[in-house]
Amino acid sequence: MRELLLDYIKALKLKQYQVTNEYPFSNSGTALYLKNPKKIYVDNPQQQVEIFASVFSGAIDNEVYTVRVYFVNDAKQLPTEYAELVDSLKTAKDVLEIDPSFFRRTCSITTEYENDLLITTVEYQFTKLA
Amino acid sequence: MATNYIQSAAGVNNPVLTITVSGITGDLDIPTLQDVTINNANDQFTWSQLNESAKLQVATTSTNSISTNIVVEELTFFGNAAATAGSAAKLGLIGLSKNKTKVNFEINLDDKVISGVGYITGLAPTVSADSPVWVTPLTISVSGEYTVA
Repeated sequence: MRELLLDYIKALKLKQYQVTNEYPFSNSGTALYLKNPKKIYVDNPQQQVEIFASVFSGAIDNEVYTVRVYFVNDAKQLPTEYAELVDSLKTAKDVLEIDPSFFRRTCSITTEYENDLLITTVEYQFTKLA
Repeated sequence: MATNYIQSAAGVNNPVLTITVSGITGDLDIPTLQDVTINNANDQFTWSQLNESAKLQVATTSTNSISTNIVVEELTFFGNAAATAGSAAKLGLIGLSKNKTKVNFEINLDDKVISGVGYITGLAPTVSADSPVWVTPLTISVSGEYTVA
């Protein structure tokens, strides 16, 4: 899933942004994406099992995979490609060729500030029956 | 006096609904019950007397049924092709309903068992894009009285 997302972002051929295979770990207490503006990081998928339907003979479960993408820009002047990149990342939830049994695909995009940096987090959730 | 609640949860005294056709081997155990309601509704004959300030009643006959919701499971719903011809296991819920087959049923409340005969009815399988597993209500319309053991 992470690889598919990385391939998708690389194929966007962004001029001002770079994509890295590195995980967005912290180095000396600072996340890598904060040190490297305009570099897109894709995190490892998180998995959660939740009850889809309770039945007396045992539960029917959902598996929820959550993947987060991080990138940072100078908040004083956003790159002209920023809006286009966000739109393309929104579209990714539907075009990724993941297992068709994922019946729910969601994407949320949030931003926050760290000094003069705008941190954009894209969170994908893919849900299928366990 | 000790209070003996009957607890039913997944894996703990979970109720099992078993359906059979008289004289034919091949039980149909419904494995995916979501909820169960055992209905025993008595009708009353009601009358008034001039010497009574309230109506008087006497219980007459009852209408009995078992209502449940289940997650549709292929073998249970459509039947097991390898089972004995004419059995509940072979016909499955949809076959028993379509053929209006009279069935025997039993359901347990912990170690107590309620049983009787009746007909499968009320199937209405439904699914939605956001809830992609078929579920259906199921009613056993009971013919006659329950047996409690």
